[in-house]
Amino acid sequence: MNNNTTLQTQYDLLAECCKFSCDQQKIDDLVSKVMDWESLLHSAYMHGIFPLVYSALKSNPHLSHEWKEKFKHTNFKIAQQNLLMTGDLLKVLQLLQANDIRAIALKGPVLSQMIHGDVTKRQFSDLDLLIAPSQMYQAVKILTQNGYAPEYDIKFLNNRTLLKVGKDFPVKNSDNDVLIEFHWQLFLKRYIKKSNINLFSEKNHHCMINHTSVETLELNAMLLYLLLHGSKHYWERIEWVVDIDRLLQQYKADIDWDLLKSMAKEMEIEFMFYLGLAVSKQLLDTPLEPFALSYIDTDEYVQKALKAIIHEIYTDTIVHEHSELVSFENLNKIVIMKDKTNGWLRQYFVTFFEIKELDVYMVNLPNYLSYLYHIVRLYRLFNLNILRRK
Amino acid sequence: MTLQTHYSIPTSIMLQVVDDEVLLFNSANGQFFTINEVGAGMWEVMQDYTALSDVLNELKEYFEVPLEKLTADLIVFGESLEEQQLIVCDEQ
Repeated sequence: MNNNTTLQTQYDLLAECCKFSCDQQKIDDLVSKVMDWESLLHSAYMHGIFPLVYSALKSNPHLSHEWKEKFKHTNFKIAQQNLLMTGDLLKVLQLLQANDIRAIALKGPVLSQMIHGDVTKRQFSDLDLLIAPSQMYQAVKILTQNGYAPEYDIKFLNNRTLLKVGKDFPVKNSDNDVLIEFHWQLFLKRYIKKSNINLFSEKNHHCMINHTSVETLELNAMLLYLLLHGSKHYWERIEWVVDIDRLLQQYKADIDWDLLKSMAKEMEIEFMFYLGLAVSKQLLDTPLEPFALSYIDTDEYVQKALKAIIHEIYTDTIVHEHSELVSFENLNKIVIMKDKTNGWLRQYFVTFFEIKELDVYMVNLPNYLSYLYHIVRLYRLFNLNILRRK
Repeated sequence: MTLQTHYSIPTSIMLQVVDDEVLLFNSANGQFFTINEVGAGMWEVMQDYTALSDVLNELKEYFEVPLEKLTADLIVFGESLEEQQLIVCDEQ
């Protein structure tokens, strides 16, 4: 069996384990063909789907006792870490609520509870909270008084350039290293030119975790956010595809397709929107509405990107290269090509001249000197690409 | 600790079943505790009451053991929970 066939089997199995209704017979057939359990365990972990894969395989007679124990151990460690982080989430929400700060939990434990009914079934490495920009400074300050340390000076939160070009501020629990990202916006302007999602809607969803009601985004807003987030990262983790599939299948009655369709069009994000649906359909057999199927089938760029993403997953690119270094060259080309008239030009402009949050974190310039960040940007690029290479 | 003991469960305590193990996690101090199946059954009932005597009344419907043994086991279990700060007791 060559390497391609081995990887094909491995990813067919991983995908089957993640499906809403998995085919036990198919799982048995694929399990009997697995040649490298170490690689499967590693890939499942890297794709953030380990707990689902473990649940699907733990009783399989083809899996040896030794591997069952290894899988069980890893699953237990993930469960412990998730509980630790969930505890932090509830503690922080309580602190913020006591200080009249509204916080909306994104992804992490709340999404795991919503789609799997269990905070330990989804892997996450940090906690994401959405806070109104006007309350951001106060929120971080309260946390710093309660055992959390910001990764950057809290004064940066008064920097208008950061609030414009960035979207979150990291804070870490000094005792257990749990990382919390405080978001003041969900999408950067360079990805989404105009956003009309009401993130602080009265219709926001509430989810019960350990007898506590946790606020998260309204379901349609959440679906849109997850579709954009996944597409922005070229769906490099199967976990994000699972999120879409489960939301669509479990909350079918709450999804307003007319609203989503029009929002995607108004926000000019149809490519990212339909790409996410296409990946979910291709990988996990997610049932889609006829209008979505029709768009996916006829859009040349969605088809090209879909093919490239599935290729990247099935050739293990994500697992063997650090995510920041993954080239995704084919995908980048497709995304740039899509912007037919000035795709490459825009790409170069963004790279050289558009200020990024890391440029701002280099030096906290007063607001009246913010134009100097363009020079800081060029210095950082020069430093990263020329000086470091030497 | 006696059957007259009243208790409360801090909001920082979380229960999670992982495979065949039941984990209790105290987010206030970051400590994990594993309890067995019988302990998990007792904990489940304890969540619905605030007095050990009420817990015993409920448990005797489920466990087919002499009342004296069940009482002793419940008190030992309660004492270990208190020791690990998983419940807060209030002698009445």
